[in-house]
Amino acid sequence: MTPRGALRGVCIPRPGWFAVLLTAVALTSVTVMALLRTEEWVGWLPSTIGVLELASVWMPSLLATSAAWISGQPRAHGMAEWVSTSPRSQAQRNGVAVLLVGISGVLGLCLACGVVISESLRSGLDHGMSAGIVALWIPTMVTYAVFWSIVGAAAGALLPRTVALPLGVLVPYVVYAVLDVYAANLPVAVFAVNGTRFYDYVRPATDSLVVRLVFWSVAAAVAALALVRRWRLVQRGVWALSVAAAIALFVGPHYVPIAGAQAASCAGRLPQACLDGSHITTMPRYRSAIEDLWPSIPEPLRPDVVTSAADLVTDAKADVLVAPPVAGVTEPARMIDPTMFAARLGDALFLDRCTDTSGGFATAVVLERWWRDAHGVPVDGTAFVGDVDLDAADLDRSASVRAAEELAALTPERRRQWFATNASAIRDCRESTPVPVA
Amino acid sequence: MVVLEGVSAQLGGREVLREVDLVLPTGVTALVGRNGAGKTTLMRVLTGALKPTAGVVRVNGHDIHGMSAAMRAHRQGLGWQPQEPRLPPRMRVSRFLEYAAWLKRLSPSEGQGAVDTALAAVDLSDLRDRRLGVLSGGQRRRAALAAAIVGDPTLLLLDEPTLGLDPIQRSHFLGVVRKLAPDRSIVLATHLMEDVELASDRWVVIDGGRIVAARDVDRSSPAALSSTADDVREALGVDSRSGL
Repeated sequence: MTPRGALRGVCIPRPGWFAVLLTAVALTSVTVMALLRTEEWVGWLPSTIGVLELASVWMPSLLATSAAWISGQPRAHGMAEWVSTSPRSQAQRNGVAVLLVGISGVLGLCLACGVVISESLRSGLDHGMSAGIVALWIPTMVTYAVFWSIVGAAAGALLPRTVALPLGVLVPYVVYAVLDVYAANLPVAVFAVNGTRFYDYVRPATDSLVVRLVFWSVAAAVAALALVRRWRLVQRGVWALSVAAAIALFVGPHYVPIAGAQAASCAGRLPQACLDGSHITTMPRYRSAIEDLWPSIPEPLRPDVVTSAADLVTDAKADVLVAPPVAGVTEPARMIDPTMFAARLGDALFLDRCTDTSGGFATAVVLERWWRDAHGVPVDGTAFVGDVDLDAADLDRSASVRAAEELAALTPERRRQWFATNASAIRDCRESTPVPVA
Repeated sequence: MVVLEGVSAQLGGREVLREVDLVLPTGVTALVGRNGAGKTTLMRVLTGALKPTAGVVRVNGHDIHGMSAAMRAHRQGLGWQPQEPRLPPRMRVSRFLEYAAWLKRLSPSEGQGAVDTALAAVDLSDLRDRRLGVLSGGQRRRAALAAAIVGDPTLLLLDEPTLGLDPIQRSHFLGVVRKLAPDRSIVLATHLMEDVELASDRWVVIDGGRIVAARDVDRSSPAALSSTADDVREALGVDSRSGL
């Protein structure tokens, strides 16, 4: 059957327009994400190319639902029995939906892939990606798309529209969620098509990528054989798929380090900013965020280095603050939420210097309150994931609130003098002199 | 030539066709019966959608339920207009017929010619770009008929095709059916005497799943034609005031 045949053989008013629309949706949804620059918009994506993989979250649902809608048209219009008396086999009648949706979706994905790879090469931002990896996961995405198109077409032909369409949306998403989120640390994650983008420092090994390509190719082939009712071959295919899956599950997914991803990369002076190689593209934003907060850091406490991880700094004499770039639920992140980062830096300046609630902890809480109030950061433990609830940790809340207000009420000169007097105690989390009253 | 030999069929465990013997030659055969008499079931057996529990349906000598190749060949030459056809309202007439042509395995070029021929045969050429949802009841019936005759089928099954049409639409529709009759076997399932008188070459009465009477329509004179209705009513066991 030809693409032209697919256009004639679907029971929808404008199959050509539908194909163009589906291609455009597939293309633009991916391209827009890529061109908005992943490291700025999506933030936590380690690669521009990874955007294409992100399409595996919604693209299977889109294709399965589209195929279900098309193949379910005769049934929806009460024409199922009339259509069934055609000399065309049921496989051919359902196959046109797969052809139309599969070709449109895959065409859109491939065009998007071209745009994304071009953008990736132009920007030079991707880490851990290579032609070999791309060459393996593009066909994986294609077979994955074809597989869900077939499943959708079968659902549309066999089930009422009110059941088939929601299933078309939900089932691919559930499979994605199970493989990529809930079972991410289990052997079954070897089948996850969305498996390269989560890793800042490691990526799936080539053999894992081959396994998932083979698995989804066989799954698509078995689904196609079922669609054309070649049951004997389906039986053999399911048998082969089961054996292959068992071997893959036994081996499980494994990962290899991304070259240079953990290497230190430092920039600027006073303070110097240090990030790992995986987050090097964040450096301009990281430095900018530090510079924004720099004037409000008490001079005696200003560090030599601000870094996302302590082990990136080799100078043992340097005064180091560990304040990773943070956004959403991620740290180190590729984009920076100013409020979250202010909270993170405040913690590094004051609270993180205390290992327990003795000594200067009470002063650290006062200073943390003062810092957070000055930068509009909440103190109830909601500033970022893992934030300390100051109110709960505070042994004498009313006193520390009052002291923080008194510190804020001081003139800049008197506050500078107080910090100069107590800088050493603050660094070592020792008792400091009381905050003077304004 | 379509021949049914001792065909019985069940629906939901209930026997609705009982040992039907029937020959369908060229021309229009009116299949008359009350609601539930077995007309639609017989149609479904003829389409191949329902397999008989006993007996054989032969088309050009081949048992269509016996071999899939025979069924495919049968369906290639089959046109079927179901009772109360529901058509996709947003599709245009020509696009719907293109789809019907694809279902008949016609190539794009063959299909285009078949669509034009079918539209002309049912007098819908002017409405080819209209959406099916905006057509009148009669026009929709003719669109469904056009879909049935795409590809020039040799067996045309029309299940209650004039149901719900006003007299003018019905007359027009039956005129189209008459024009199609010389080249094919047409089975017109109906319970309207007017359909028998205006369009049929012969009539068959089915009652309780059995063929109870069959006769040619005598068109030699108006009087002979008018006696057809009385003969059918007599076969059905009803009088002229019954509404049939």
